[in-house]
Amino acid sequence: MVKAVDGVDLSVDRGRTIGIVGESGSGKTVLARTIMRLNLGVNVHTEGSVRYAGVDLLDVPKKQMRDYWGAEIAMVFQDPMTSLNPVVRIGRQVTEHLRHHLGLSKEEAKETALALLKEVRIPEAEARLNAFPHQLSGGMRQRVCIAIAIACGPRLLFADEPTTALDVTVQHQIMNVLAREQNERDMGMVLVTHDLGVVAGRTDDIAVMYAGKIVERASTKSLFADVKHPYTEALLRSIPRTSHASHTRLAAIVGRPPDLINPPSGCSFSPRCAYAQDICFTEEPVLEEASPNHEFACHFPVGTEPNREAFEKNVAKGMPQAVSIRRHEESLAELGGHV
Amino acid sequence: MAGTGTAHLRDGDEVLLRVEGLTVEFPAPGGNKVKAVSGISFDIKKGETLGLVGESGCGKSTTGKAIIQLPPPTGGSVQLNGDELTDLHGDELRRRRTDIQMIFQDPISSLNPRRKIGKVVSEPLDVWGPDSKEEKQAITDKFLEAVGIDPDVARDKRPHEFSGGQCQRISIARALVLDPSLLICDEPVSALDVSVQAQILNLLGDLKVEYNLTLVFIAHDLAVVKNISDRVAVMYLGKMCEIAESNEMYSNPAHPYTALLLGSVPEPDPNTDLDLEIVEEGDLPSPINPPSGCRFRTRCPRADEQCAAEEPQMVEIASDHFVACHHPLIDPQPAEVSLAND
Repeated sequence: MVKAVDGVDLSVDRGRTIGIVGESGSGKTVLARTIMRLNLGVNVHTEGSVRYAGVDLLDVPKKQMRDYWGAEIAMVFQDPMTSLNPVVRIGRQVTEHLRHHLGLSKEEAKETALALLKEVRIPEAEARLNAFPHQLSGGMRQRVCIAIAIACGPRLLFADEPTTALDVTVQHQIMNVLAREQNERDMGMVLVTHDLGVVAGRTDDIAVMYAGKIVERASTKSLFADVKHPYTEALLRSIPRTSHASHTRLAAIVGRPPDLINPPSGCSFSPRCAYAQDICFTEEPVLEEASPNHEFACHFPVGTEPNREAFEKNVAKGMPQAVSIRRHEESLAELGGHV
Repeated sequence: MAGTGTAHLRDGDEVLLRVEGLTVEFPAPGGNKVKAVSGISFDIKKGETLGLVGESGCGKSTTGKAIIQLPPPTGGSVQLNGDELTDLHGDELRRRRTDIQMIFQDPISSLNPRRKIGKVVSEPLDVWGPDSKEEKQAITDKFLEAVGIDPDVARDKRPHEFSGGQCQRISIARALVLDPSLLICDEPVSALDVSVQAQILNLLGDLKVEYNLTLVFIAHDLAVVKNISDRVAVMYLGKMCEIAESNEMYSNPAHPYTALLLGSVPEPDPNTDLDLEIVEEGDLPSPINPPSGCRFRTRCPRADEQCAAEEPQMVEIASDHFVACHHPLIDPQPAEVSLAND
């Protein structure tokens, strides 16, 4: 059995944006799809509850989920090339569930679709209604996907890596469109991504996932100001930054995410952690509170004395993950931070 | 942008690769031509890393491929160690080309799924390497080890048994077995997770020193490019906008396009002020019929009539910092002014 998601608790309020961050295989997409009931039913074992406005979605019969999809909860996917139907004109793809959910007439639906395309700032919107997806650029296709997702006024929007396939300039624009729609429509939004840079300025709260579990959860400000979990710290450190001098040695996270069929005993991050001590390999840490609204699961949280001692011990032992961080720090000191 | 000119080219023996007036055009329907790369020039010194950045469709990958003559460029010159590659054909070209190797974006699809890793990595040696089997295996093992893959474990496995990061390491080993002097990396880390990306970037940095490599590093991620490059060249729609030493370029961008790119990089800091304005997304200008004058003018906040009429030329705006723009964001260096007065 692959435990893709393991005991995750989350809540999203109206008008709030929560970011779910982690590497490939950390379970973030499976989590989002399970909440939406988009996982194939075969051989999938799901436990727990998903309460949406008082209803447990896991108890809703699959057929009735259609009343929720699009109308109540909607999703924007990673790849705008494959999430649109290549042989159906844009107009019909936008009007399809306007007609289904809201029961609009053809003309009304077309008018609404036009307004939606204008809302996400697609130029010459009228002409685009008759276009096929391949006639649009990647960024424009993602705008169409957003228009489809918000068409029926959902109260909760999942965006699963919405900008990973796009150029930086386009990414910035798509995130702006999402932020404005979320704000104006007072939707709850769940932003799933592997890029801490993307969620930094755009979320209220962040949950960091590793091996199917949430290892740290905090308000965005508190998470960046006071990182507690070594995995969050490692993710942040491995990102190359434009404010660091060229040729700064990067603090790579050694190894790979764990095998979810046979997860390591103790803390699942321990084999890759620069601070791991004996206890980490045997005892699994539980989520504890660092401050109100900031939780983490670690025996040696970052920024504490035991953490510093553990790090020095591991450097002395020549543990590759600790040495990698030491080299990063030395290189930063040598080359200077801001140039 | 849209600049032409060769003011930024350097002379001397240390130059390994010199590309001048490189043009690549592809036929398009209706007798048109896609002008993928239109007369760009750059050079790379031995041991240097040149980063090529720009959005999708700016011609950066086409440039990388034109260097190894796949396909040969429509016009311009590509000189490796002083030898003109565009004049070579057939066997001569194939032999000379072993000195340039390439790593691609998608590590999994760039390895043959049905072949064992030992075979994948040693194949270049079957064509150009030593005859003895033992020697070939020794070289293969040496490079697999150099990229952090255990040859005894990997030799008889197939690509699907490895993760994306490991496959990229294997591709790097394959590129190195013929001891090339120039390595062209085409978006080598954009398909990888940040944690693995950092591993590969560190590895490339180490290998570069160990094997005296010169790198062309093509990527759209500006932070990645800054980390690995000594010099960075920014491309837009088949033209070169700006070229400079990397720290200089990122702290003092002179071209409005470079500034736009830099402003879009998401920084992992919740206190950065985000520019939340939403811009209507127009069609990018087509490389079949690019804008007159400066090709960036249709998106440029500083564009005026001069930009439509005249193509800007590369000028040195600061020491070893060249830009092709009529209205650069920083003032030209005073040295130029005094020269003009003389």
